[in-house]
Amino acid sequence: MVLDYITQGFVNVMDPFIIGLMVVGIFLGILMGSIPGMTATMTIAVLLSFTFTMEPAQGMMLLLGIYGGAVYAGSIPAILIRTPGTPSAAATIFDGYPLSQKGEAGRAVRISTIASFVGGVISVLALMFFSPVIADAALRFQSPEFFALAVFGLTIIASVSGDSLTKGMVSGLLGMLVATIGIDPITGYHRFTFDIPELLTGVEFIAVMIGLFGIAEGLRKYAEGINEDQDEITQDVSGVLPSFSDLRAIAPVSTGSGILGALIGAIPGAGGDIAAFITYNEATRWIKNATPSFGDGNIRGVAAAESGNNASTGGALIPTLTLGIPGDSVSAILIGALLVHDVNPGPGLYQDQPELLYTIFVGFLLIYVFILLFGLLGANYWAQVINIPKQFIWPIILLLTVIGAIALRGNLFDAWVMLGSGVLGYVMRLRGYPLAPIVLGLILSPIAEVNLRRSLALSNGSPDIFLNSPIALVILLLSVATILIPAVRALGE
Amino acid sequence: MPEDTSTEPTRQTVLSRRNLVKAVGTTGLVATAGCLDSVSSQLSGQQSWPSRPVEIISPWAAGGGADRTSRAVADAAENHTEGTWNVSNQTGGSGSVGMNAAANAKPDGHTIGCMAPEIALFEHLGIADLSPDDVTPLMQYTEFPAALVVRKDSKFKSVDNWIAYGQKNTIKMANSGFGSSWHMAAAAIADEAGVKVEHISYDGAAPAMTAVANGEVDSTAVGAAEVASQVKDGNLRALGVAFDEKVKSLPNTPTLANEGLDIRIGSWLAHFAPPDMTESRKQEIVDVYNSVYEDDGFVEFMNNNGFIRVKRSPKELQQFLQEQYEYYGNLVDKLGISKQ
Amino acid sequence: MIKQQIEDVIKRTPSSISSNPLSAVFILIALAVIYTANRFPEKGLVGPELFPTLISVGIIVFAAADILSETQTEQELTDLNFRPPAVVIGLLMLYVSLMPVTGFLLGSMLLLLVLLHYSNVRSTTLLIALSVGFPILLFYLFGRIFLIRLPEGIVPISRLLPQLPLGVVV
Repeated sequence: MVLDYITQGFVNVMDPFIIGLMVVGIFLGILMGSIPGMTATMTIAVLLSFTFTMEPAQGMMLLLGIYGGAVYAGSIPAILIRTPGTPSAAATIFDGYPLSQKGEAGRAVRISTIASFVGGVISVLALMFFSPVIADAALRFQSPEFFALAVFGLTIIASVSGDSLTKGMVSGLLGMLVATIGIDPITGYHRFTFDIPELLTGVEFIAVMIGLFGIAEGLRKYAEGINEDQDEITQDVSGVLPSFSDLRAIAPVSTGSGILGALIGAIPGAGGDIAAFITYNEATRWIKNATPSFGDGNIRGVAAAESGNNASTGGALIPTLTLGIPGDSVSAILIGALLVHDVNPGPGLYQDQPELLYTIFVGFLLIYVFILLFGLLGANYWAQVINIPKQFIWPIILLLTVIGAIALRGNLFDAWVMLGSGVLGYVMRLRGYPLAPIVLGLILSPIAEVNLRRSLALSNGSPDIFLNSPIALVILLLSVATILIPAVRALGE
Repeated sequence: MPEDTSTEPTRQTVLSRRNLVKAVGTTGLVATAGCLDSVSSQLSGQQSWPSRPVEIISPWAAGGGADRTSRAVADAAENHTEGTWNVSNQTGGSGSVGMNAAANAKPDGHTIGCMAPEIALFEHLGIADLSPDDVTPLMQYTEFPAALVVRKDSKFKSVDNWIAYGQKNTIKMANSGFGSSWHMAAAAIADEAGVKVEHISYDGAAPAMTAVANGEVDSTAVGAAEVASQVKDGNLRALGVAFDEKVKSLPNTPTLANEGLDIRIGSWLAHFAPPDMTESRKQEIVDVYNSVYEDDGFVEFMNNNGFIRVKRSPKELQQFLQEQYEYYGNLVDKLGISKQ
Repeated sequence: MIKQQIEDVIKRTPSSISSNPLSAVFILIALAVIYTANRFPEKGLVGPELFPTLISVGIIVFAAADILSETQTEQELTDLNFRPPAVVIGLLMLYVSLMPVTGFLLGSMLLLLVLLHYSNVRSTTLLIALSVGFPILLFYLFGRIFLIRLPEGIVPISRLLPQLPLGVVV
């Protein structure tokens, strides 16, 4: 029965117009995703109205192509210029950038492509075969569970702090502090807004991220001397396929991260950024004695982050299509794209329009096949981007980051936030502070705070609400273990 | 009295590929042809309208209701004016940043703002120094009635159940954001029913509905169209709709008035121009808006997307805004969340 | 032994602070936040002041630990020339602050021209081609297709650019 639908879906997808739409979508997604500040959400929202005149399956293929393409392409600037194109790619920097520093940018992009493909395919398969089960579990996430998940995410600060745990903690806490700016979501009190209307909804964290990484990296390049070829690295641009030994090395970690990423993506409110940080962290915990060690350009680090964030795309569609609850900001717009055609996402969809559903599934699989193809063919071209003299590339990147910041909300204010973060990031890096914890703090602190306070409001102040939730309890215990085990081991040595 | 066309039947349209190409091609031609014209009039400082692209500022992000309906208005307006209409998004400050930008633009008709009940709330909540007095209302074109929603297998089978329980106990009620118009809607319904409510804020309508579905809270008030698919075959039940009549998206749900609660509340969207616009320019724009409201493409868009067409003329809108301002002022006082 | 260590730390502290001014700044910010947060109106059990206060206490603890544990007092900063990054960030700030006047298009052209020249691009053809062409390309892509609100400036020269036949492009 299901197989019939899949076959039918495959037949439907094999239409030149649909394939054309996928390709256009993927290209647009890759273009926008590789520019820091341009998000998949914005691209999809702007192109949404073009799908109104198409049939539902056609429109979905265009939009899903953008979605997959953008999440994949966020890794490209992360690898090449140490600036994540989308928040999901923040964790790709850890090992992706060191690889390109060694002249292996092409290899890193290829690994990222393969891992994105594996993660994407795993998540679509999960979407096809396990949707109801996963959606049911995801729906159990209430405020206490979200609090626990955010706390668990914050423990990652320790493992992405590099050499100095104290500096990493300061970075992470600074990110958390910045995240408290804005209208308090529980009481409506204006916290640290200084009567600036742009600050009411908080500091735009993508602007901070572009500044911390993009601007700071640019300033560093200028400090080193923009027109000197002192650290000119020759990028190896031979071959299209990764070596067999590379494939064997990343296969287990890509698969595991794909499964975990799909599950995290299915939780409404947890997107690719959180998924990638968690899968990267898990990889560093499970793989002992990695050589080179994580953070020094281990391909398995790139694979873990990229498989995790791409798996969250299919994961996010699980509650969207089975329950009508959007899994992330992109899938919220996808619901709109379906409603236009009187297609109501929800349990009824499986009875009413199974053919459409399986056409979307098969199409999404095919989109990842295309991403694999384009990614492998394009890897060497991307790698050559760094071979363009720095004196041309950095002025253009700096200009792009400013536009990216303005584009976030159509406001110059965010460009100022970005420049300020750039100076901060530059100075902090000089002083040896790791920057990734700031991003983690920014993303996770609001989730932790709101859900903690909401939980306590719901329980009238009793902490029992956390003890009564098995999921929250397990995640919280895991968080404690994540902190204590390395600490105990360090003391033992 | 606002017109309501919610009972019109849906017409599902699937345009063929050729039509799409045709439509796209025409837009391109019109756009190219219109440009020379607009450049020349722009440079000569001519006072015609529109002499360059008209920009509608959506104060919320692309893909949301304000953005999508504004795009539909822009598309339709191009049929009734010579020139292009664009929608841009300037978000932040609960919508106050974008509304402020439009309210402070040149009153020449080339910048139009989009507003919602929030404009009558900003001053009360101390969010922004922006009130209905700071805009020239053009037209309201839609309304989003609130639906009172509970879990499907909840003990509340009817509004009566809900009220009876709430008069003795405290009902936990989710809203889609602190100080949002949906928070106000929830408070207003609770107030009208005389029930005790603890308001729990979430970040958007979807998390609020999820919290009802998974039993974290007892009920919520969200837009009827938004909750429709989850009522149809999901985990939610709509007890009543705060509107004058049954709405198309929830065909089996009675109005709250029918259940003994005489209340019509929710959200709405309207367009406005900056203040101090000349009467003749305003009339020109309002004429275009009247045509837009009846435009086939616009009507079809609204019907297909579950937006109820509700119209208020500039005069009606002006008066309505004043009423809203006072109404929300009282509500905010009662809730004890006024400006600190 | 322990006493010795404590004495070491105390002796080291003043020089550590001067070698680690960032941590000291963060501690000051954290103190200011704690002061401000505790003047928030108290509301409910866990109010809006709780998180900022806890986070700030954390910053103080870890930043102090950082100052005390700083073993490497002198960092290798001598290799770096601070003038270029200062000039670049200055140019970017000038660009953003002038954008309401120049508009996106003209401002970006000027920025690229100056920045490329500062980066030692000396070919006049390349300088002009890049600094004129690239902003126009970006303007069409983001201003016209993606309808991002890019500032127009007091002389809206961007309105002189021909409209795109939008449908053909997308």
